Amino acid sequence: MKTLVMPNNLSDIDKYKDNDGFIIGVKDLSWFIPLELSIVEVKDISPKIKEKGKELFVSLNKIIYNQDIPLLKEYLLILDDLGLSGIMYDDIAVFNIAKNMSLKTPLVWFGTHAFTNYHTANYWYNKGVKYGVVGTEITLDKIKEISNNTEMSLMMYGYGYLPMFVSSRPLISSYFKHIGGTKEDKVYHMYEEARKMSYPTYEDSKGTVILSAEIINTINELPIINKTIDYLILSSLNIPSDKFLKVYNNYIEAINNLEDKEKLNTISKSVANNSPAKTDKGFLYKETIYRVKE
Amino acid sequence: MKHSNKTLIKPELLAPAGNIEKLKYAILYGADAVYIGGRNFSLRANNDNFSIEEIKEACDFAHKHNARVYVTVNIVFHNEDVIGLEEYLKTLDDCGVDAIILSDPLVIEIAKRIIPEMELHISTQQSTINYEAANYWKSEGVKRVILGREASGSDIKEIIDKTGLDIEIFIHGAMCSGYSGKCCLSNYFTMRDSNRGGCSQICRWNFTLQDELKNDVEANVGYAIAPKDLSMLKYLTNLIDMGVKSFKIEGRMRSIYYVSTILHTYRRVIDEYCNNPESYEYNKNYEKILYRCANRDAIPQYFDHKSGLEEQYYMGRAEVSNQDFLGVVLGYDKIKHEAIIEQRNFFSPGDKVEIFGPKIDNYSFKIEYIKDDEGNILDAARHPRQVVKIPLEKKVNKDDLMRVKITG
Repeated sequence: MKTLVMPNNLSDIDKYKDNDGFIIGVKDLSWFIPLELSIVEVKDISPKIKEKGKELFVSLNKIIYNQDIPLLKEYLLILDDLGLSGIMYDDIAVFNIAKNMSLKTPLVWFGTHAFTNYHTANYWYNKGVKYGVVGTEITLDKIKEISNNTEMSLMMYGYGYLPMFVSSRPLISSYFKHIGGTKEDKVYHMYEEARKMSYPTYEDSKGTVILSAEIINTINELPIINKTIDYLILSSLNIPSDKFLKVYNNYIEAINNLEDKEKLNTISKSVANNSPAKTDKGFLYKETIYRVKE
Repeated sequence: MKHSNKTLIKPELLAPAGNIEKLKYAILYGADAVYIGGRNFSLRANNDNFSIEEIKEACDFAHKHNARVYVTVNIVFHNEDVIGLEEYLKTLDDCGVDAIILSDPLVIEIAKRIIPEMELHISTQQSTINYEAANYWKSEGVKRVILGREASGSDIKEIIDKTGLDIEIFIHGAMCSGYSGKCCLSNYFTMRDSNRGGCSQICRWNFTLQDELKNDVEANVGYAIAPKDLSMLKYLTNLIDMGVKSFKIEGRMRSIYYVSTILHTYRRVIDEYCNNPESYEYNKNYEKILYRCANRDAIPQYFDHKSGLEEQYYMGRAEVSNQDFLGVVLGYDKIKHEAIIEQRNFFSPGDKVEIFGPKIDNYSFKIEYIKDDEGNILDAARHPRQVVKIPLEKKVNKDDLMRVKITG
């Protein structure tokens, strides 16, 4: 199992010594990726990351509109010359253009909520998609079953806030207009009284994103995950750099001590302490309800 | 709106049907096609949905009335959900289903192998809003793509022009706040799987907006992300001109009255425009009828601008159920000139009402008296499903509907 970091700023990249690679986004064509760079910055950083012997995945995972397509084609051609480990996508437009342009860079299906079974993984694998990020709302048992039944290389979120919702609507700035205020460029929270939970919510030019209230922490599951998936993703989205660096070091320590359950327990507690919100196991042990009545 | 001589292709009017009764009303009230869900593999998992026998009955009824039936197989599958899918698709084919609506591409692969002649439609759950993605689905043998509701008028036009695909769009009904298929609020809040039919409509809940330190942004002012409904009535002729293949009405869980009213209205607009575009004029009365039918405002949403301030609600709001629907016509007594009505909401003598139906023009009148089925005069029709008689000079037909007078 390799470790991929989603950093939240360029200056921290040198601080990650023991990970295997990075995931970054590109301005205008990515969402919920902590670090979104201009295409020029991506061109600049790519050889530096490769010099360190690390892999670089670039995520173009937002929903694509007709008007995005010229830019998307231009960026795909540029990215294809960088020798990236992979280009991540959700919208099928990226796949279709890459196929029609015969791009050589491997593709990563980053469907967020859609990768929930191995049949669909095999569908994309047979179309030439090498990697996939398993859905964030399925159980660990289902991830294991997927792993046992596909040749696709699997990635999964091991740490971070999970994206729950994406909208094209400006759901924060509209609210401020409605109440006569001004939205600031920061992360707000959508608070729900019955559960007493605050969900990080932010808006940019592409729309509004709502994140999970709690941060997934898979330290205790790493021995299983190590045998199950190929890449573990550590996301710094909405997490301050200093805290995330501590968590990153916790994970590296854990990966080096997979046989020591007691140590993993201790590290897991450190991760919880170093995190800016309560940590949980996401849906790894929670099966969602298919239908309420039979 | 005036047009030069031109040939317009009449779009399909596609209706939701949550059960066999709703399906029959939808077809009688003008639907060219209906979409339904089976008991498995379909979103709206908590709806009645159709058994295999009912799907067969639906196809027989629809085909007898020159209408088509599409079945949703549009969940995002988990590993175990695939069990039985091949047999199910084969059974749908045997029933005479005209197309299946899918979201997960694994269904394409299986369908092409098991039922290669079946027409395949890509669900709006895929949030397809560009021609490259649409062209991919075309290369996979898909006949039709149901676009994401975020597509603007120019997006729709460009996708039609650059793909040649049959394009279906939603013209009326409830909206999601987020991109379809990209929202799992329901999973996180209630453990109900939004992409397998369990959506608990979290985007209609009331919240509070907090700042980065989790302090309320505005004391005592609620925060909401609830969208208003969609209505493309104002742009329907533009969409016909563009060559949109199918106009879809949302709402498999809606009432017979809602579906009949919406269909009856859009049917008229489509026919009036396509039959005689030169003399077509926008009819404000149709707005009144459509907008009263639901308990939320209905607006064009994304057609000509980005959705923003006016396209959503901000405060908690009680959604009062609509009381306009007064009764269903069961028959007409030609000798006594009385309509036989099955009551749905309270009405009494003196009320101004109207009856509409697939074969009659809207007919308004004042109720002079109400009798029960034994001929006793009543002061009101008070009880749901109570059968009463009211005087009516004009002949009405079984399955016409009576409502509060809205127009004129």
